[in-house]
Amino acid sequence: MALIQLFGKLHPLILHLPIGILIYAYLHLGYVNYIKKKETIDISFALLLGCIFSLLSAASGIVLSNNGTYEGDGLEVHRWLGIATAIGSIGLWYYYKRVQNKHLFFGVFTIIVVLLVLTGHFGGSLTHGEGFLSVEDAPNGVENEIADISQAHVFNDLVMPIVKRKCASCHNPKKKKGDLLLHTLEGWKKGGETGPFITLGDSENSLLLTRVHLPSSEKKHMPPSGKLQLKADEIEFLEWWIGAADDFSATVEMLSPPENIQQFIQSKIDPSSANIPKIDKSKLLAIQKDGVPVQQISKDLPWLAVHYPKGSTINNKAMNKLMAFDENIRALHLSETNLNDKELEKINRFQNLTTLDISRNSITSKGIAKLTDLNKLEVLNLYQTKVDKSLMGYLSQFPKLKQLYLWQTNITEDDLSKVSFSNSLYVDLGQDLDVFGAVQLLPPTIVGGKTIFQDSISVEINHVASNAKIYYTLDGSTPSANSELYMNPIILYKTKQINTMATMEGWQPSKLVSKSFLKSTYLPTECNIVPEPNEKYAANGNVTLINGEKGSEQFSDGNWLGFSASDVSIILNMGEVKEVNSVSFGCLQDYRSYIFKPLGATISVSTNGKDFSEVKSETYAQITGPDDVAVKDFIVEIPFTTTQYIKLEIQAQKKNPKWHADPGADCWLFLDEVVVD
Amino acid sequence: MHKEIQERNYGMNRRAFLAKSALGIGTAALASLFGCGGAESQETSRIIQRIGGALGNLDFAPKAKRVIYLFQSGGPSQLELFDHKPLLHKMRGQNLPAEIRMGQRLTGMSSGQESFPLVGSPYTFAQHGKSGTWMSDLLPYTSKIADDICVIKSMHTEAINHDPAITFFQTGSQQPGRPSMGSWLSYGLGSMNDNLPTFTVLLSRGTGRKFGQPLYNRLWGNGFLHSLHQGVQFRAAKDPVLYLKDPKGMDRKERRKMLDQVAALNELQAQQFGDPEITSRIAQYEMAYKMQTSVPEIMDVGTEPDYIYKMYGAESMMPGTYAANALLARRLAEKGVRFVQLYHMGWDHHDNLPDAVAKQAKDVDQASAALVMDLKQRGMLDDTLVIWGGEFGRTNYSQGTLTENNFGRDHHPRCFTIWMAGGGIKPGITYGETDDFGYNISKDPVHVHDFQATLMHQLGINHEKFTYKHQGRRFRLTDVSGHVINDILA
Repeated sequence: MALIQLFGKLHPLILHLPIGILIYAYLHLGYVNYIKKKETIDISFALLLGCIFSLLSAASGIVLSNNGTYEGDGLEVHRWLGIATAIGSIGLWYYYKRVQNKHLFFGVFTIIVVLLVLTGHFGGSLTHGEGFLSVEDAPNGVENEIADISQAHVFNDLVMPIVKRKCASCHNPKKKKGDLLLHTLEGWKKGGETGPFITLGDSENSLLLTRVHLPSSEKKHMPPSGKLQLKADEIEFLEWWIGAADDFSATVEMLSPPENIQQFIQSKIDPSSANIPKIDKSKLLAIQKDGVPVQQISKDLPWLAVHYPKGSTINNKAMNKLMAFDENIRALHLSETNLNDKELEKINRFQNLTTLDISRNSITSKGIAKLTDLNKLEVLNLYQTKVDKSLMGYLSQFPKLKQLYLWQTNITEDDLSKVSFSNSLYVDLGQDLDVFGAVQLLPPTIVGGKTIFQDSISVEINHVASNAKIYYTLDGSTPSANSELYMNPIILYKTKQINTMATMEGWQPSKLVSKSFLKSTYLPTECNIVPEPNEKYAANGNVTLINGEKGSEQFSDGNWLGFSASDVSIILNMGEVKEVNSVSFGCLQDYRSYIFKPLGATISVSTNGKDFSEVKSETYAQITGPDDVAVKDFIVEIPFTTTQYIKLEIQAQKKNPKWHADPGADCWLFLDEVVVD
Repeated sequence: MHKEIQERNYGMNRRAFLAKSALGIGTAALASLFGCGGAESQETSRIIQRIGGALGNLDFAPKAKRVIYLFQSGGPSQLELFDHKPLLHKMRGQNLPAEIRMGQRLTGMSSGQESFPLVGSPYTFAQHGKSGTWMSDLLPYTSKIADDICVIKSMHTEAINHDPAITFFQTGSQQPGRPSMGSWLSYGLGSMNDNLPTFTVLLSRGTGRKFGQPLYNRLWGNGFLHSLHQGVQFRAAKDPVLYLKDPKGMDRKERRKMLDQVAALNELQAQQFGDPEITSRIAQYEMAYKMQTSVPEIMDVGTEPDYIYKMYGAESMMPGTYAANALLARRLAEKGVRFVQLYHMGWDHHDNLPDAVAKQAKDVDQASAALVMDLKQRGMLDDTLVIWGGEFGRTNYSQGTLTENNFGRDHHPRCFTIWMAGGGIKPGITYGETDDFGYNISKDPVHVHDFQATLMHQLGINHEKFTYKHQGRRFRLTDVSGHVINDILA
């Protein structure tokens, strides 16, 4: 095993051999071809050596890469290029012995050499770091490092980098487009063939801005279409500068830029990231393997963010490991992680923090006092901590603070009003709950499987809030806090309507809900209906009304009888003379489906089924606008009567009301379950 | 011998070998860039799945870490909620001019209609907040957060019926089969927590139209990505996540043992067949085991104080309502769930719109506003992107007969309104405009792909580079278009 490892370590040594040998053979071959002589070395032998060492290099490289010291995208590329080179060199050696066309062979050799060089390059990048060959471009910001934004030189530090990047590629001594030179101050002052380039203090008449603002379809629009264009914020910045500056030597402070420009300038000058060490990827991966949720913010920045989900626990080991990156960590989210004041000392080590969330921990102002080095902090989240008004004294430790979260702390509005904050600081004390006003409690739910019962039924009433008090009535009246308090299931022996509502401290009493429970003492033996229900909604025929099954809110569930635009008359035969004191029937209301509840009902009784005498007539109010789909039970109480036949005449709505989407159209009456008690 | 077996043994076939070695330097580089290279050891790839995601390092510094998407399914009427069009009152009952309609295709539901009578909103509009954002009196609470949200009035889509339109919003394609937005993000960004799924889904039914279209669960499907990334639906029932509970008589210890054994067998199987779905399955069993304790904990909203229920509205006490889901969304976000997708159904008001839209608005108004305010006071709004919106808008004319105080509106893909809050979106602005008829966009159109591109940008992803190769093609959430809307970025 160790031997194999050693073989891997020899990779940097072996790899130079094929490079040297193959390139020597290649150059020799090229040279003799050029001077049209015969080769003087043994090319075949050289190719054989080359391919043996290529293979050894590739093999040792694979061993080396598997032990995990190297990683990244480059490794992948290097690996495959290496393998390709090795295989290519075998082919080359094999091909040389059978070569027909010398020129073709030389071409193939060239490809292998290119592969070889590329492999070498990617390998070099792995050891020496990416971009070790490239000469740094001028950064997309400032060339000189600036410690203090207010002292930055507007022209040199901010204007020139933009113009150099986007204009000076044509307006320089080599190209001299329009006789305008923009790489030096002299050129700016001199202007070009059209005239002066800019007039400081006059943003209206400066050629630079005129050209930039021309529509891009215009020929004279600058930069010309196809070239790198100025961004909106860059134009805004240039416009501001030309309008505000008197001469080219102004600093940011002298011109006191407005907020949006200030932000632009800040984005260009970020002195804080200049000296930050690069992230050591393998170290980072090692920490991630230990379960520390740390992530690089983005591929171009040296910053890291650590985000523990709420309620996680952080061990000391993890914290100590993060210390290896103390300068890189920019955001630290440690909400509800059992932090205390003592641990804040460690957090003070993360000097480049801009966001710190230590909410929902038992932290006091004294802990915050320890955060003396976090002078770059912009966001501080302390909600639900134990900080108090003494915190105000420590806020000066965070000169750049922009957002401060103090909801559910001991700090009051009053405490804040005594301190003067800079305008740019947003302090959150929590949302004003009064916005939501008095909130009405949800109504209780009446639980009862069947609503038609024979002898008795037990009804339960529930509420989602366990602290809610439930009140109810059984006499049809509206319940209040003076009504019966619900404790145990209600046992009903008679047809009853339960009305109920709930109250809870701090909430408005709920709406009323009601439900009827119908006692079916006598089952009619026969049921005649005039007219017949519509054939589409005939369910199981006349029996449907007396089968003990109630229809649901779905009109098509097969338990409803539907009648189109007609009153309905029902004659029930009780089989023998019975004592009756109420008759009830169910109706559906679903205005979208053109189904309305009835307008009235009349009960007549007869002992012979022919001569009926009216005992009760009721009218019902119709809905005057859209209303929910609902099943309505109509209970008609009548004086105790002995009878064998009961006639129930129901007066229907017949036509859609005016407010309906289809006013005047025929509408329906849907009936179910007639219950006699 | 058996070609497939050989390929399996080498972990690669001839084509892939050639593509990767001699011919395809680019392929090799790309493959490793986008994490389909399979170069990482299994352990590393698991860690990456957990915290890093396939993208590893992001293209941009992300403004948002997570998304709460309050999807209003059915197509809420922008004309009743956000887009104030006085002209429609003046021209009430008049036919929609042909030069405004410009041949817009209609749904089968109103294409037979003889006339298209314009109708304005019966609700009163006013400007709210310092930003002066227009909203109707159906949104009394959302109007309180006018300065915290960015209202986009110029959304437009390509689809005209519900399922293709929602599928388009969620997956970037009208045809089913692509991964949902949440799955893409789960795949790309990975998880921020150990014991909850990265992508969770919460459904509620609206009171405006109780029996509206259902939603297919493929809307939160993983498409061609690993099934690890599919959305997990949390239901308002005794078992919030189906099939999570241990069977009777099995305790947790026993379960653990069983899972370990099953995992060992599955590992074996994975080595033999190399089907990535097997490793996905191992991870899912593991996640399910962890969720056995984490899910009951997160669903136990009883631990929330009373004022939180008042804030989200009384309905938040009732599991399964939109308000309860909004509250749950916040709890999930706090626990590190990357993408919480809510769907509130019932916005499809072809008839009786005035009544139904009021009920729907009441369902969602308070809880949506409360969610934004609650995130804000917790300091979470900065890195949480909240989105409110449906799959398309509704027409400016009445579908069916226009009566004195009743009408309906048909689907309208050419313009509709959504709002976004937090996550680095500029607060207190209104972006885009529609014409006086509220029919066409007159300024700054935002296509669904633009919206998706912007969403990804806020999470640090360049939507053009984030691809997944499947069946020989690289797929993106934004397909082949989409531009980041820079003007709405803070």
